[in-house]
Amino acid sequence: MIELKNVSFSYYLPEKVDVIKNINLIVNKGEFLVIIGRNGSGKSTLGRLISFILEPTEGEVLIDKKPKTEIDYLDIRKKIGMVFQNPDNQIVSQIVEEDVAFGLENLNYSEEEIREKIDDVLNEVGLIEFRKFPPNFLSGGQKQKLAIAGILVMEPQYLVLDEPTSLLDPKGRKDVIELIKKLNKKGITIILITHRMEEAILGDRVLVLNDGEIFLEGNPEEVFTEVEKIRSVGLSPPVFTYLSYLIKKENFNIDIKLWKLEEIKKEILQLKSKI
Amino acid sequence: MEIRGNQERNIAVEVKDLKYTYSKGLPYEKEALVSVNMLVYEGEAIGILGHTGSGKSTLIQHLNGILMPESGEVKVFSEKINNDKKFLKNLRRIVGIVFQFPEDELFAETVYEDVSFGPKNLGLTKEEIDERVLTSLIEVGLNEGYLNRSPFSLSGGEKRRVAIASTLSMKPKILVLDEPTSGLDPLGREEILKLIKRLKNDKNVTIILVSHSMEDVLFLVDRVYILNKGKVVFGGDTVSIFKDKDSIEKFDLSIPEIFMLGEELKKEGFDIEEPFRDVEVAKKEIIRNLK
Repeated sequence: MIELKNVSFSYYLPEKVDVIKNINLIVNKGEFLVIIGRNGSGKSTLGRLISFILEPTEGEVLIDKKPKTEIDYLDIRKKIGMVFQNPDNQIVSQIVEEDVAFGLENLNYSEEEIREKIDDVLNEVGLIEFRKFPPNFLSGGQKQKLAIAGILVMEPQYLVLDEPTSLLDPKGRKDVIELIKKLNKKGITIILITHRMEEAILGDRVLVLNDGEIFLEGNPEEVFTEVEKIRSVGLSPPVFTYLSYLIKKENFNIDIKLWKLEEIKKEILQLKSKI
Repeated sequence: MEIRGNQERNIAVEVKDLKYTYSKGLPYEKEALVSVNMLVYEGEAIGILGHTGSGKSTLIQHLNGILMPESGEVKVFSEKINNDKKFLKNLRRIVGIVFQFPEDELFAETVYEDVSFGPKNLGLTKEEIDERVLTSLIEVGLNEGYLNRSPFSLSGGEKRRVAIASTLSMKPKILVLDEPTSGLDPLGREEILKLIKRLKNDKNVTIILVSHSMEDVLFLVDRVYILNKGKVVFGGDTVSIFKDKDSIEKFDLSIPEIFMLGEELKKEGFDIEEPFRDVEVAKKEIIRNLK
């Protein structure tokens, strides 16, 4: 469990800018938490606070009820991994398997252990056949999976991903999301920061951040049916939820919910049959 | 390959058998463009799609002479791009390129300085420069209140718009945009897309959009070219490509769900006049059928 207690974070530029304002949040083990919010709302900063990369200017962040001062920092780094938008910024080696090995090499593992762990992780992310390739032979999606592999090999309990798909093509996006879902099923806690609402609905819980504060919180259905609130903070619900909202506004009897294509099609056909 | 469009329109860009190899002659030379042919009419919006590494960026860098063809040719409004300094200077006024994450290129202390940087090199009067700066800011949805602000104090979406305004201040006839909405929040994205559409519709600016976002492509562009391994493997109008499930699968694209809904409703006998390019069109079409 990661717990944020009255956490604030400010930059000094040189005047004080409050990026995160008094946030209380519990991230439970095993959950899939999604953080959304407009550009500049503090999402990335919150992600970095959750992963202990930044330290709060006020309040504290606890992992398994302990503050940073009571745990070995290396231990925190092993427990919480972070993946960023651009995989090119995270890939450090000239060969795929060496890149995965990078984190392990400083941890006193034997060569056989390292070998075994790398193979396991490359199998997991589906890059085993590219193990001897230079990373620049990989596609965008494959590079992002390599960046994730480099984190997974440390066997983290928490994975914080900051817009991991925003630079990828549709196939790469789909592959990375499938991988994230799979890792969550295996018990890794996921904290996903995204601008893509079709990804946001995959979470157990969605947190809407606005101006450094938690603006809305709930499961995807609860959050995204608040269409007006969501749009008031620079976001937009998934396209069919928004469509049902627009149709309802024209005085048609349709529920605003997280519709799937087949469902909303049926619903519209039913509306048609009633006229 | 099928090239559609009105043959009587002016041709804005013509790319013929374009080939380009990075590090030519070195052991690690890489053929980025094998043979690219492309035609863009004045006032239309086209999309260039393809995987990372398919040659999209290399191609667009040929459109204002940042790269010169190894063989083949690129013509802009019938003039072949060449190395002549005067020609290039003029070319770069006609073809504006907004690269990916253009906000990273903001450099000045104020928005005014950033947006006026281009026009200042055109020998214009102070009044003309100021006028261009303000018009460009208004075009991207900002106002004079931004002139003296530091670009670094702005939000991501605002910075993106200032960067686009810097290109617009040169009054380009052809605007090339590489992933203009990536990393933006949904409303920021909507604003940028609407801005580009306005430029096309109201100012007859020719738009060349490079994007991974099928929603952006569907909303904005008339025709698409799909690049793969340095070659154009598909060209056709946007709506027909999204209707063609085989091509979509073959080129690893995805069909926006809103578009699919339109096709499904059509099959069910709905009278659909306009393909569902975005949620507004969908709403309009559905409601017309419900009345």
